[in-house]
Amino acid sequence: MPLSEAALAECHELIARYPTAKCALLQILWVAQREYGSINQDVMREVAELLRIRPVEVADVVSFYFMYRKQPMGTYTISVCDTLSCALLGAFNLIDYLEGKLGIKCGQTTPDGRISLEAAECLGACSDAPVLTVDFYHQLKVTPEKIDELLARMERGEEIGQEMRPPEWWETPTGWPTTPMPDGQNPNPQPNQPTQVPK
Amino acid sequence: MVGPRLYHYLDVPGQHTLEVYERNGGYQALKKALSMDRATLVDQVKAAAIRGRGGAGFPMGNKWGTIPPGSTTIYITCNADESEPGTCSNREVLERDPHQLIESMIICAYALEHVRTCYIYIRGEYRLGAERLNQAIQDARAQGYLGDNIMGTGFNLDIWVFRGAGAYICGEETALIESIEGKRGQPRLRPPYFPTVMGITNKPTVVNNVETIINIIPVVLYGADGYKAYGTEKSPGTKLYCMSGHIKKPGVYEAPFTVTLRQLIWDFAGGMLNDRKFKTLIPGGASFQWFTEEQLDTVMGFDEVRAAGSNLGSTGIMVMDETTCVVDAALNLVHFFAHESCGKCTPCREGTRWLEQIIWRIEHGQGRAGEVDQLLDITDNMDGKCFCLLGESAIVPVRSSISLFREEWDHHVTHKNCMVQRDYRMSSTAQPH
Repeated sequence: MPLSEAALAECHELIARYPTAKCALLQILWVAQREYGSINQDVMREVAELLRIRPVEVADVVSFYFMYRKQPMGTYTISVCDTLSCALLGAFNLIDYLEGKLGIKCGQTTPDGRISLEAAECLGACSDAPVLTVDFYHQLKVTPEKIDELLARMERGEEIGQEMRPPEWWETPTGWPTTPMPDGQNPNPQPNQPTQVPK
Repeated sequence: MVGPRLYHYLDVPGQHTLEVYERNGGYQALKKALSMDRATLVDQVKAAAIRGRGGAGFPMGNKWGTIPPGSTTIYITCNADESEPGTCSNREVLERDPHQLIESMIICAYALEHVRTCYIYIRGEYRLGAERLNQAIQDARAQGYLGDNIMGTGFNLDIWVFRGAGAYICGEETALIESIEGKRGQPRLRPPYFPTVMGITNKPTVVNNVETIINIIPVVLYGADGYKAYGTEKSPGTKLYCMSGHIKKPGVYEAPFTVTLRQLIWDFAGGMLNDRKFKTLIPGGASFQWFTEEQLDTVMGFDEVRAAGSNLGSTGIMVMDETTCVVDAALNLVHFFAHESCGKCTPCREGTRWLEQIIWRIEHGQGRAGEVDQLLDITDNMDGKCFCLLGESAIVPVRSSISLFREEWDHHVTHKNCMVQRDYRMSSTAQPH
């Protein structure tokens, strides 16, 4: 089954953005994955034809980047960050909890094809650890209760978007620090306030 | 913008939309820059000495200076492949203030003149970031800030978002360029040392981190001197410090380069979680040497941290308290590097695996006498022999934790258990192979 007209038009628009057609490969693969769900050998051949490159060049790239899925994934993909900042605050307990709840191990999909579970390397939300992503939308400061709630929403087939951090979590400080510097200097030097404020 | 600060409007609702961004002074810097002479603009950037925030601290102006004169096609690539464990400042900018990045890139492109296309390489995991950037680019184009004949100056520019697909190594600038060229993200041989000489399709390519690029807005608005009001002579400006781990209020805090670690932990982040005792921290993301209590008064500038024996890196500060087992923490980080090794060179590909296997055994009570020294021996065999910095980084958690906490490692080997009362395990129970 070839790519739809709309998807092909999108691909050609992507190719036009780059100096060579091959440069667009990673972006075309994103389109293909969105259309087909995963990337198998037939999809690789089709992408290769579209870009006029050899299929092996496509396979080379697909095998390198883990986000190009070689097998079909569940309706929802849960990726739990297991790198240090999250691990310090209990990421592995969350993985154990999820594995117990879903009855699968990391890297597997539930038999009904609903949820895939994986452990991921640092997801870039270390200050809101522990984190997991649902289809790569971040969920912050995750607890077992929050997981229960997310699973219930998946049960109802809801769309799960990104959770945004409320401002009060960090309380961006209004001033500079107050603890004295080691050499007794003023910790809060008043800088020469820039005079040229744009009009 | 209030003073040369980057994070001021981050939490304003709707800041990611063009309307709110413009209301808060957005695109004023672009208007000012377009009215300036290109040479003056470049001089201002060089005088401001904006140091690269991605890890190396190489001044942005100097990087521009390495572009061969007479180049007619130059690409600017923004490195938003933020994957260093502990670092999360770029994600906040991309999701909450994407126009700030776009405005900065337009100014950079204008200053370098022969730029027609810019790419933003965003890591695949930042899905919302990519969506918001795409929307922001579309809005900026509709408003005439992008596209052909920008604001009537006859200057043309396109910015495209390039979404990566999950590879830590693509944060390395030559690997990033390979990835944009549609290949596996494996680093290129240096020299040439900078992609400013040979980048995308062998054309000069400037690769800068998100945080570095957005510093150009205060430079344009307040001039190099106004920008230098904060920070030190050698490290001017402010930095976004990503605080995570065992602290009360983890977050990304903006402070001048004169801030100390003690101030960051106790003033900004509210002190240690549950008021436990501080044990150790990593000042610059997973790749750099650990600090103990003795170094807490270190000033967090590029040169000061280097003098104290580590590196500012991407300022992903991970704080660990007394309940942390350093063997487990080292295993966690080595597992990360083993997983992310691109496989191009043998010392890194095999070395990281060996390290992971041996540390896993030590952590799980199967360590044999002499294995701690064997680990150090392996790190010696990797040090300086790897193709890029990933391999060199992987040995740091091992060396650092052994040199600082040797007795804990020895305790693991001799007593087959841990001397630390811990809350959580931090590594997989499955044996690596």
